[in-house]
Amino acid sequence: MNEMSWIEKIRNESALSQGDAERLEQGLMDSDSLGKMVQSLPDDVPSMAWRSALNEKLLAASPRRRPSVWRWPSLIALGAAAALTSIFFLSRPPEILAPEQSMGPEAMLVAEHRESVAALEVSSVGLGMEESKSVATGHPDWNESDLEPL
Amino acid sequence: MSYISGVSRLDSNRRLDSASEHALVDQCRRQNYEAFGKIVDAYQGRVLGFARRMTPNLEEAHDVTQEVFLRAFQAFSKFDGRSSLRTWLFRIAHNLCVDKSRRSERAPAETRIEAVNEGEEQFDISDMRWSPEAVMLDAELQQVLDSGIALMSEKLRSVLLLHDREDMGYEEIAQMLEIPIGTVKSRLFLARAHLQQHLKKYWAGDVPV
Repeated sequence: MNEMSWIEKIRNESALSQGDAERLEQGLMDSDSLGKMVQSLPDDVPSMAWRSALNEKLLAASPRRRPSVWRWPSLIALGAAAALTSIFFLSRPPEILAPEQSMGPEAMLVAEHRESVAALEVSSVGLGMEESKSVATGHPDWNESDLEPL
Repeated sequence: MSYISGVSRLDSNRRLDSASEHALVDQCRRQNYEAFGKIVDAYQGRVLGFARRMTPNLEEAHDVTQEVFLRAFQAFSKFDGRSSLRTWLFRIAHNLCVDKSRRSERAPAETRIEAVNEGEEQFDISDMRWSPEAVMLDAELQQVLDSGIALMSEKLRSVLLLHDREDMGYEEIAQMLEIPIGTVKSRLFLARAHLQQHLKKYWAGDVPV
């Protein structure tokens, strides 16, 4: 077979006969040393600058490094909620204390009056106002011996 | 780390064994930045070497290589493992290089294979110059080989680099380039024939270095 036509078949990527296919296999084996020369070509070595530039691009594309589009609105919402809570609690009216708890002069007068009323209600025969008052308040000025003449 | 021309460079190609690579691939599917960095360490030199020989200039090769890894990182969740990681990376690299060269309309003058008379051996394998042990790939010879590779058409160049540089099998290349295995073999044969003719011219003093 004409060499050129065989090579033309290869070049045109035409279908090969079995004989042509075997020649092709043989040709590849014969040229194996050329393949080894190509394999021996040294590897390329990229520079650190190149690698740094690549690292930056990869970092930018990395999902955890990407800035969260949801972060700022969340923070704003949290701040607004805190502000509203503070306003709510600060705007409540102050508690109104019972007069007795205020410890002012008015409270003392009221307490005195109550004691007097309580004293009158105590049915202690022979006890004067002051005496019955002290019984009512729980501060007796008497003892059992005082009752003996009765 | 070696210093060349005042620019510090990284020692490339810390190759990974299959178990390590498998573990890294799993992490990369979850877009683990650190794991992907190790894959870049293992493949950056090889991908750059491939891109450098497939594109017109070094700057484009650098851009293409970065683009390869960036796209791989972004699309890693879609990597299903049906092909090897190497095949996948080089497929991305090949496609990007082809796009680049088509845009730049690079069409090297392909060396025509001279007519061979019947009976003449196409490859002179008895010549010791072809013996890999005898041939020292000095810097000049490397340049000659690279210039010979650059003169080939893109389809021959890609098969030569993938098979002889990257040690890929015929089936793997056929799957990657979506061509029949017979076509892979034909292109490889032609690529080597072109290279042989180029080297013959160099030894005859016809190739300027």
